[in-house]
Amino acid sequence: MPTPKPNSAALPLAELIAQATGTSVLHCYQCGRCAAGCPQNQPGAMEISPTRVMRLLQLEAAFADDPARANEFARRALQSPTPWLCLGCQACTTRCPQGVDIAGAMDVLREQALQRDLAAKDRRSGDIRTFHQQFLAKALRRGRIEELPLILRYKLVRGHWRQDAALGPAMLRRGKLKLKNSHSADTRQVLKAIDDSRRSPRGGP
Amino acid sequence: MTALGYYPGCSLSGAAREYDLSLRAVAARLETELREIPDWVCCGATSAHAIDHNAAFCLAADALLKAHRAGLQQVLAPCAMCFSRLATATQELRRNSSLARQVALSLGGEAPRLAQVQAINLLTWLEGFPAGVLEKHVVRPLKGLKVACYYGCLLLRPPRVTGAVQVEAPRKMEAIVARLGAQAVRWSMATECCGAGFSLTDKTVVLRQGRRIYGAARAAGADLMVLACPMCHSNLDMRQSEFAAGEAPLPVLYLTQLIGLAWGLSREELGLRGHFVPVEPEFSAALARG
Ligand code: SF4
Ligand code: SF4
Repeated sequence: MPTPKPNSAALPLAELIAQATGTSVLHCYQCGRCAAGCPQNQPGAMEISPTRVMRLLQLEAAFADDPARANEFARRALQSPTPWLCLGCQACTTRCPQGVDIAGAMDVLREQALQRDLAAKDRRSGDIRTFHQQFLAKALRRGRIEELPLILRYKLVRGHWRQDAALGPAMLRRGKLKLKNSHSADTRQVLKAIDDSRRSPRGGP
Repeated sequence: MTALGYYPGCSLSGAAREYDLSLRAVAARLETELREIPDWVCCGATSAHAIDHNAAFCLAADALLKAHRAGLQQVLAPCAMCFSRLATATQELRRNSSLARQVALSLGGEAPRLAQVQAINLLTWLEGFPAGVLEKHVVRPLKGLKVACYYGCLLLRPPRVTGAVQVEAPRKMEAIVARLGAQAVRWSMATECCGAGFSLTDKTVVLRQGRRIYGAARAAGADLMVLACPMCHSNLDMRQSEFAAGEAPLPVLYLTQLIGLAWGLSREELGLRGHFVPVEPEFSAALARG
């Protein structure tokens, strides 16, 4: 999993988001448009809306001279299940009148939550997190994803054996799953590039 | 024959085989040679960018570099997710961020050169054919067939990455469907998210979104739905028996499959047997009604 980037924990999240996305959460004026169109901003899903997450990030930056308070706001954003529940649908980023890449900010929040060991502990967030980690690890190891081994490994680790038990055979019959790993691609070049990219801090936009 | 770079991605070699089959069948008739990027690596899909920005960028940049080395300036990525990842990487290369410069160097290329490789999605590729080209192959005009064109998220959003002009009320797929003689319905859910990769991790989201999308397509009088994304297809086809149990089946086709049907291609060539919601007899019945 990601090795920490030098000093990333010392920078405010707003700064890390600016580096990753080239846009600033400080431009958000809290209009609520991102939350209004978010498919996951509803009862039973997100408790903290994307708009409120943007506010927490602004507050962290605003309290730069009071590290304890700043840290508290950052933690609330990082520990929230919201980034894990985000589908990455890009509706928010597309519609923000202030040009904020909210979906890109959610990416940074997940990554930072993992690096700082603050990721939301609830079962659902954990399921989603495990899936992402297993998927990425597999992509980097084999260079190709095949559904069946990925699904089985996820179920093994998270214990969801009974859910969708009938789907496997139905997918096999339709040729949608293969029993053997038959595809792979050489990932040495890409692994080296990732390794190199971690050695120096990410530069500005 | 025109040569076009081809990045099939993992889905089209697995669960979305029928998309690959039908695309190849359509491309052959359009005299397009799909040149697969040599030794392409998975784009990382949602999961890479969800937790690791550097890995996500490197995976996509690797594909762009391999395309560049193979002399392919345009790469068709039929999966909306792969398309989004490759196009996002191109944006980062254009932005020339220090990550982009460094990774390009490490991969043995230069950022501005890699940024010249352009990923295109299915709609962009198809709309590039002048009037008459798609039409001339039609042997079974889809007259009277009512089609809900479903875009989902990543073919369109964010426009900075996709280059889409009409993002909220797109008409590109509708235009292609009209060229086959079918009638695209106007409906409200064309750009709503299907629940994406949550099928395994939080199925309730996929069922909720699928239900809303299915309901809107039905209410608009659609006979079937077309789309261009393996993830959307799996959520709306495979899960349909759960979110619309006991209700009228709504076949969900890849756009390439609908084109193939209008062109009279065989069911085998189009991989129609791989669907959970059967395409026949619904398709023929709807044509007869029309
Ligand atoms: S849409 Fe943009 S400006 Fe409005 S609340 Fe969301 S992030 Fe802030
Ligand atoms: S990208 Fe995430 S936060 Fe933004 S609208 Fe979609 S689900 Fe909501």
